[in-house]
Amino acid sequence: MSNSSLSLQSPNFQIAWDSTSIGAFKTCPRYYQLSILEGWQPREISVHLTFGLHFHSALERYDHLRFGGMPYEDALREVVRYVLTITWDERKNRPWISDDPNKNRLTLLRSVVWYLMQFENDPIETVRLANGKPAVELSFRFDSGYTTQYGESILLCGHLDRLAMLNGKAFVLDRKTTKSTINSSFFEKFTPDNQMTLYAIAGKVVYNIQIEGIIVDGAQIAQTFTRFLRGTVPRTEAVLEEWYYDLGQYLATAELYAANNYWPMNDKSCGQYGGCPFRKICGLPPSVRKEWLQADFTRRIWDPLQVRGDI
Amino acid sequence: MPSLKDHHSNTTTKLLFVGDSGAGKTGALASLAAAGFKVRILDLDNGVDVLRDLLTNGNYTKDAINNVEYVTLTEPMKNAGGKLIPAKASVWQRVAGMLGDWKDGDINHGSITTWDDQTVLVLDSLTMLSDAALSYILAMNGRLGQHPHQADWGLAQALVENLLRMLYDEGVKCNVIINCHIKPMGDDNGPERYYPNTLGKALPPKVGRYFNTVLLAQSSGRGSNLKRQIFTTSQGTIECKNTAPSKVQPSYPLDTGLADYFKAVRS
Repeated sequence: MSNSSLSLQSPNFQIAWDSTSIGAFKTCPRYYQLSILEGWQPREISVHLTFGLHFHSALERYDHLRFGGMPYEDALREVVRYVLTITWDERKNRPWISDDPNKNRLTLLRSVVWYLMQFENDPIETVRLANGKPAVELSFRFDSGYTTQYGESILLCGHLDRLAMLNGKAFVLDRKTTKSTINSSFFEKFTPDNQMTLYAIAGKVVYNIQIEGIIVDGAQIAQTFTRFLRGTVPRTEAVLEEWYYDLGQYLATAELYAANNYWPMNDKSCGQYGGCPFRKICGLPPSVRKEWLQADFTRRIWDPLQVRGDI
Repeated sequence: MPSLKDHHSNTTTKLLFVGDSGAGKTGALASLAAAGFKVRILDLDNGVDVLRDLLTNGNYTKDAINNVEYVTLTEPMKNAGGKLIPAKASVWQRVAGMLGDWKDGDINHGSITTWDDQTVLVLDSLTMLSDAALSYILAMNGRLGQHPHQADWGLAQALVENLLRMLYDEGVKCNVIINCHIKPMGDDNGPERYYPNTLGKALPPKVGRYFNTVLLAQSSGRGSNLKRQIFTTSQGTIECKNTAPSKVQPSYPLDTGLADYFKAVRS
């Protein structure tokens, strides 16, 4: 398996980092090693991940249809058909089955329809790219300004959900789904936040427009309703500069670990975010971990340089 | 380690200027212009006419009016079903834009972080700024003109508090004055007190902490007995504070008060 984000000189070191990679390393170097470098992931894909991907995908589809000139009602109908299609398992000839009462096929469809109804006349308009396409699911990459000890440039990369204008000012929009109530506390969680800070920097560096900030486009998915709320996530220049400086420290540390091919465990992170998926593995003697990984996990390549939409 | 004698409160005043409507908060700025400060006003109340009148009535030096610049920012309104609502919500973004890069026609003063301590940024008023923040949140959520949801208040409060925090930051070297109305608020544990008039109940008690100075403009009497004053110490249930209690007077006349106060704390 080849991974284009890895250094040619130091094969265990990424030279292209996205927010997931940076976040994983900050959380725990061992978690980073297993999930990003080695690409282990649980066999059962999280329902939250599946729901989020479908939700993003449906709204991206809507943006493309509307940009293509399709009237609202037609685009809405088309997106409903699209959601029903992507949540149908052709192989098993049955719909996507989720045992989560909040996040399932019905609540997905409802959330998409309700979102598009609330924002039929959306005051936040998607930016039109130079090629005429809507600025949704945009892949970005840029030189971080840091280099490896061998002189290789280290890139920062990722994907933005949407670039949009509000009252003539441009914003990066990031869609988030949650079961929790969306209020000011929900938005406070994104300050500080690795992903949002990277997006704020990317918005300024990559796109040829002045980015005013980040808007989190939140959707609370409950069993019987979906509620939407958008809020801003502030980032001052000083905060961006501090994050960037810290990034340099993290990258230097990661390069050191890569050179030694040893990624120490941060056992204070094991219980965070509902528990690390590798907790059980890390609790085993090192000699048997690989067997257990192979039994309980599958592998994929985490390559942040893979492009999604337009770049 | 910096010496306390060099503390920036000697040169920079971050002032919350509270008072009822008509107490003379906007007009009081005239004395600062007359004292040579460059006064730059973001006028959200559409009320700088009184300042022009004061600076041209002969009570202040002739060229004082040249020290004042203003930009009026208000929302266009429209009639929706017999109800007057904002046609759009752009004031909040325009305020943020001006603070980041002050441009008005051919005038370009750049970011307020580049302004010196001889410049006074005035936001008039916190009340309208708060309304602008709430409208901004409603507009963003496609609900402009509708009754705010509970969560909208919290988001708008966070916007206002972040802006106050930014203005209070040491990186802003110029003086800052935010004019503000006051409103009574009670709580379960004590009598009603007066707080800065901004969004909700959680934010008003916190506003004062983002200023090193809170002064009160107040008028008393009527007609020829009308007396307008600026108080530097707490009055009743209105809390005031200043940076040099040993140097400032308990009160000043409104027409010279702000300049007197600025001079006293810098002496």
